[in-house]
Amino acid sequence: MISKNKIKQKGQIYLMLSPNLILFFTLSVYPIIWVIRFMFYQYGGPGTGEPIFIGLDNFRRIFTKDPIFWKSVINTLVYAGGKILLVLPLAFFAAMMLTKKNLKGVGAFRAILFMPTILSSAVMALVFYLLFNAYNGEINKYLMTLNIIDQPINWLSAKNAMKVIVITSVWGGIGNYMIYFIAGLQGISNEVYESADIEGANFTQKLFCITIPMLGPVLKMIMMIAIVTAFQDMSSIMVMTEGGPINSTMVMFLYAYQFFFPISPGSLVSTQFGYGASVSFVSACIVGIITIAFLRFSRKLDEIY
Amino acid sequence: MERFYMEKAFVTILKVLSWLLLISLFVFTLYPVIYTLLGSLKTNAELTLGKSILPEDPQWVNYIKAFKDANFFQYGLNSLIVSSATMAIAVLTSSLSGYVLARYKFAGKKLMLSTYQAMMFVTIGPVALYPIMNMLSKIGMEKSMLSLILVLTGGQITNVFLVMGFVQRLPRELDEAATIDGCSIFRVYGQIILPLTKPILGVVALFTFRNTWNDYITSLILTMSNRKLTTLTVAVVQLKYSVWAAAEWHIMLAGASLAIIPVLSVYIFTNKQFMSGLMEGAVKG
Amino acid sequence: MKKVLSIILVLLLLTGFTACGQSDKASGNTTPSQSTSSGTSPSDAGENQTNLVIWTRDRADAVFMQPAIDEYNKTNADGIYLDYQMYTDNYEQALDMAYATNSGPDLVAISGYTDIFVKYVHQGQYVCIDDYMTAEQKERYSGLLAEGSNAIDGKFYYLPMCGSTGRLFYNVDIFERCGISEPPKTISEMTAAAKKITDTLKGEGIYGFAMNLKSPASALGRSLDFMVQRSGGPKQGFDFSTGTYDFEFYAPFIEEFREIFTTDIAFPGCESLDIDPLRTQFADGKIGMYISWSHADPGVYANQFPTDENWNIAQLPILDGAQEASQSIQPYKGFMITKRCEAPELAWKACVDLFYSDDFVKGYHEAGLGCTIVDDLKSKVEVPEILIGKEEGLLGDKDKFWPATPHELNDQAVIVEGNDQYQTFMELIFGKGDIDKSLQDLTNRYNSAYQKGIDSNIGNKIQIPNFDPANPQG
Repeated sequence: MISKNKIKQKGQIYLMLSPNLILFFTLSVYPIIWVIRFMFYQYGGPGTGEPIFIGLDNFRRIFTKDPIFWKSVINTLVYAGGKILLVLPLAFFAAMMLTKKNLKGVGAFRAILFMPTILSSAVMALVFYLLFNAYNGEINKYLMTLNIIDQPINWLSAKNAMKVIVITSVWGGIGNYMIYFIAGLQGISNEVYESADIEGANFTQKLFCITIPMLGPVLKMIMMIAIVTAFQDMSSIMVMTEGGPINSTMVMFLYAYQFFFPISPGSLVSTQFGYGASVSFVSACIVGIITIAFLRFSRKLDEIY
Repeated sequence: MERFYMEKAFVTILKVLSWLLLISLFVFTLYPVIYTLLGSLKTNAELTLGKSILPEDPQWVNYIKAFKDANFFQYGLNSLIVSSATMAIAVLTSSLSGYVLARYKFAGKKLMLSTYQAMMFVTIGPVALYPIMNMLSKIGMEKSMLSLILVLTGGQITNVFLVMGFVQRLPRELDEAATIDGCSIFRVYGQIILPLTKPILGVVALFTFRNTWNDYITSLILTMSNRKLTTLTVAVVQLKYSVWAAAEWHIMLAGASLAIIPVLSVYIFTNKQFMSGLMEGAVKG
Repeated sequence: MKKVLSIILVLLLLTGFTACGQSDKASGNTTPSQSTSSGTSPSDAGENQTNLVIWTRDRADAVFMQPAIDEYNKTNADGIYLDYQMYTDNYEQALDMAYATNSGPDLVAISGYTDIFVKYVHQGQYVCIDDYMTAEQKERYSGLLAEGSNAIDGKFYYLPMCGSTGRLFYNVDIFERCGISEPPKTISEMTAAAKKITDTLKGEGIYGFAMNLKSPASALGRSLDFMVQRSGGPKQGFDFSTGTYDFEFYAPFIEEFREIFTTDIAFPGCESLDIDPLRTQFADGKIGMYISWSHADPGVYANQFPTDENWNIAQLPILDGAQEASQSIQPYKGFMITKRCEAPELAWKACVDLFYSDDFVKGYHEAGLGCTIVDDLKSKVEVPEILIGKEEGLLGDKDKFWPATPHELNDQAVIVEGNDQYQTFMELIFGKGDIDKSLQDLTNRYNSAYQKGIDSNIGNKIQIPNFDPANPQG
């Protein structure tokens, strides 16, 4: 009887997994296998002739002849680091403030913070261009009226563009992570806080002894998502600076992308599926190493708590 | 006694500071949104010349133009159907998988988890559409709305992990008891897990709806050979550009402002789900 | 909770039904006739109607195109219905995907700087129109044949209605206020004029020179490339007489631009400037001069960004002391028949009767949308209203068809490792690196890429021993 039940249960388990598994394999895994084949070829994509086998030549090019890629790796680290360090604390803070049950109009406040994530990145990037441009941007105007600066700052120059990109992505990201945090905080029951209150715990104690440990797996998950998406972000960069000026905002996956599709209608970079696949592969390895390092680190944290 | 006052003062300062920070966050977030809404009422030249944030003479005609040029009703309906269906499928598939992964042991679980985790790092962006389109055209489905919905649903890796993390935190006793009572996994899932995971499923639903609604490339490519299926975002973005002559940014801003409404409605609906957890707690307390 | 579940279920069912309905309809469409598959066919589609789907990237000329097409759809006797679809952004991407999956339109509009011709013609995506052309037509259009841009191996794939090239746009009033009597003829005059304007009028927010360097290829491809050609230099770095790449010629040009962009002469923020914001600033009288396509910008100031500024068009400045040679015409606005088209004869007929007809080309030209390049039409068309007094905006006798470079013939034959020429120029212009060294390195990288392409049989060696840049067609 039991074994029959067991078999039935196993069947149910696989049945429940199957819809997601089918989608996962056909839409996530298969395309990647399709592309990975090209890593050892010189191939310009459909419509450019047959792939030519060149062995490891693409990797030779990446490691010896491609300073832009390595620049893009550094840029990605700067971008992702900046974004994560700003967006996660701010979003967590917003979530903490906006889960207070006695706060009136909390829904409206959340909606406001969520607004930026609705606007499409194409539009968002355009608006930020209008705000930050050097000649008549709103930001320069305000800074000059407030006498903070006396000369307009060239925000989108090679020196400053990355800062603007990070600001844009933080603006667009707070809402998202706030929602993740709110969902996570909902799982902590009020009773825990109440008993802590009775024991006279202060805010910081509650934060570090209850909230953060109890968020546990969700917090870890959110940080993972933050890391992986920050490393893969490219759509707003693509519209705002196209990776420029002088590759100062070129990130790894945008760099890989341009070998598959032109970034802008005026771009004349040849499509190179083979090389692009290799660049994507190396980039994915870099993200992988960083995420594994993070997981190791967070496991250590688990042991402390 | 003195220590008590110091602590009190400290708490007050902390409170004031955090409110200040929250208010500046609101300003920071709202300003570009307001700029967009106001910009949608400007002429193209006014917008790019940036003389004032307020429109000189509100150009409501931009909205009429966006409505007409983007074929708002027809494409809006497409978007609504596609986004809702994608949302429903995403919630269903990710919650099923997330729950099973969090609660049951089965052959191949380790492999599955590590494959999912590995796939999180890998992105090839829209390039994936080549093989997918090829596959779809081989089975003659490249023109159907169902394909668009399924492709937009995708592998759901992040969502599966989110649900899994959430279920793992739920007290095991809740569903274990039911399993021992002889309920089938489906019933445990439907009657116990689903209601308990509402907050996270609300997030999944909201984000999926939002992402689908705003998706450009995938929708563009998959509706290419059947323009009846064109979604609103595709239509709006197409307002933007003309390569050899000026872009009509003001119309695009108008289109984008219009497109906010449906997502905001879904937000308000799903917001109840995040809130619900809190309410229940409050009642119990 | 039950409510939520039931809503989800209902939605699922609903969409399931509509989705199935849609897919049924769609697949029903595919089976009998491929050509009617896509697009919004009119509901009263008759038995003998042939639907031809046209894809285009241009929205700017839609005001002209759409009525003409509507009229043609109503009046033509062949039962042809042209379904004109604008793809604008991501046009190349959509085409790419369509070809890769064997779908897409019947006719593809080509306009401007793009590789959609060369990239797919070798793959057989387009139908050669030589077989459809009459002897008379072949004779008439022989002057338009441009290998690598509308023809392969001497065979036509489309007829370009118009041509365009780079021109200098300048603000007459600003020039006068600064005591500059005429537009610069040489690059050092250009720098001097720009400097004078910025020095004099910077206080009012007016600058001498601007460039849309957000996309270096787009900006320098419409300016620097043509300036070099006019000065007797190579085309996009390729020297036809030796059959090799050589970027040495660019050095003095880069020097001048470097001076403009590193000594605060240029409009602020050029490194992230797109062409449209640039145009609005020019229309607002904040820019002394800039360089753009001859056919595009006049229309922009007439329609999209109306301006009261007194502006004019001039030829591009050349290298000091150089003999004026010629600059290449970029053919554009043609229609290619794809291999998917089931009625290529009818498609060709529609092209001839509508797009390539003298009336249409004349109307297009006179609307100021483009400059015709058909020899016997040139004398018959009138100067477009928006170019009266600005005749340099029309194509002249120093604008000629140039042969295609190896890269233009097949971009896969010259895969350059590292920065391409435009990215390299951009770095140099903004003061990064030694000009001579970088250009030498660029030359080496291009030549080794070119040689690699020849060695792997993707590209061919191209050499025209007695090539004369003043008379590039020989």
